[in-house]
Amino acid sequence: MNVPLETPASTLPVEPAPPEAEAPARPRRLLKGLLVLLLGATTAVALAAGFCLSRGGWYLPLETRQVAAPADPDQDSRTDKIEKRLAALGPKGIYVVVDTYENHLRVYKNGELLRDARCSTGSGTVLKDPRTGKVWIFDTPLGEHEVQRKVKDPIWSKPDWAFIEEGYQPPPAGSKERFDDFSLGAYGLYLGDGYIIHGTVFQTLLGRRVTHGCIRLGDDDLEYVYKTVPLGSKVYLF
Amino acid sequence: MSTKRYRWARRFISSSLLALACLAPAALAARKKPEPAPPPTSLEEAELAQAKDPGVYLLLRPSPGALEVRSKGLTLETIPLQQVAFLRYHRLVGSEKGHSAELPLAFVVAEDADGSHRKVIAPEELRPYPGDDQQEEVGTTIKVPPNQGEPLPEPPPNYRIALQGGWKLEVTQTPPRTNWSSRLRFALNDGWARLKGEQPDESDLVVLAAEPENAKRIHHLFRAGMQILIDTGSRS
Repeated sequence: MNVPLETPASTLPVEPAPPEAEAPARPRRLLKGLLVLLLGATTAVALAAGFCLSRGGWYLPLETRQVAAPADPDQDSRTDKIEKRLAALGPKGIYVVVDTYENHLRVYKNGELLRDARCSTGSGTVLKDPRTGKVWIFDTPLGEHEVQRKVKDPIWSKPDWAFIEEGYQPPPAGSKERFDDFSLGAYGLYLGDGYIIHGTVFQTLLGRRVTHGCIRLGDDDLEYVYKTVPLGSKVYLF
Repeated sequence: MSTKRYRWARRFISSSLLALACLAPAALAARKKPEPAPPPTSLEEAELAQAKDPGVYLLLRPSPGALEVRSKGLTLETIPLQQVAFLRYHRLVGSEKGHSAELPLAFVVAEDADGSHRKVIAPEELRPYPGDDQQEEVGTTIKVPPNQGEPLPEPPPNYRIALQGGWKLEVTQTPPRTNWSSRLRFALNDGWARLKGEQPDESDLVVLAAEPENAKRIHHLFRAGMQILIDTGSRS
């Protein structure tokens, strides 16, 4: 007896298709839409960035190559000569260096530090005379100076700004109100243009930038500087 | 008659010759103007020329990263730097600036650094000086400047100083990043700013990366006209 191995399909009960077969169409469409949107956005951003870049610029490091001098066989000897001349410009013996940022005055002898003192230097403020419009800047001048004069018990001939700053009209030149034998302390080392290394009654302000351009020292340091630094010594302010 | 005329002519010629003889040396001397010194061709020459002046100048050493404060060839202070970079601004599209690709031997500071930090003190009105014999008024409201003890505002740790020749000196705490992504980001911001109608700064830069305290110290030094010599390794 022949038994059919397979049952004809038509005879089998038909099962309904699972609902998942049709469902992926919607997310795919959504995905496609998102992709198009993303592509569009990327293109727009790329175009905007390109537009920005077409207008913009950037910084590139420059090779540290300087303007080349023509080849010179005597360059080495010339350099030696220049360095000797440069060294000759520097100070000899005792000199003073004033750091106007840290407010330190240092005394050197042939490069060796002898004394490091706290000082006060120019405040950098600006005073304006309301009547004349004249302006004073209370800076300590940078660069090389020289001790032009040394005075014991110096008397300060007060300039106009000393009165204007206090709110007073300056008295006539030569009047006794102009002279002050108290404010400069026991010694004064004059650097020219009215700038002086002197003492102070404001000892608590040493180490700060509070002066009108002069360099104020404490009593002991001032005495040391007066006795150690000879006339004509160089004073470097920076 | 003719002798008289000749005498007059002789006098005229001789006086003219005399005047010429007197004036000629002066005229020649005036013509021989002192020739301007040739521009320095080495750092040593540039420093020697600068050191004849009593002012303070700076010597920038990029390779160890240091800024020396000098006067008359004497090093007054050495300020350590984290990094030194020389950056040139390039437009991505369009014409380039006609700058030389080489560094100058020296830059010159074009403006004071602390101009914006100065505080102006000015009494609104003045009263007559009382003198010694007069008693000082009590209770008057005069604006006395607080010059004793009140410190000025601290200088900023990040700033730019204009140099002559279209360069600027930037002092900052973070070393400049010049990798590709940083440059791209900068170019995008730059272009965007231009699209908005702004004019971003496109000066070439000397960038000094320094600790905040050192940045303030450098700020304190700058004065208009100050020279900054650049040592790119020719001197030790």
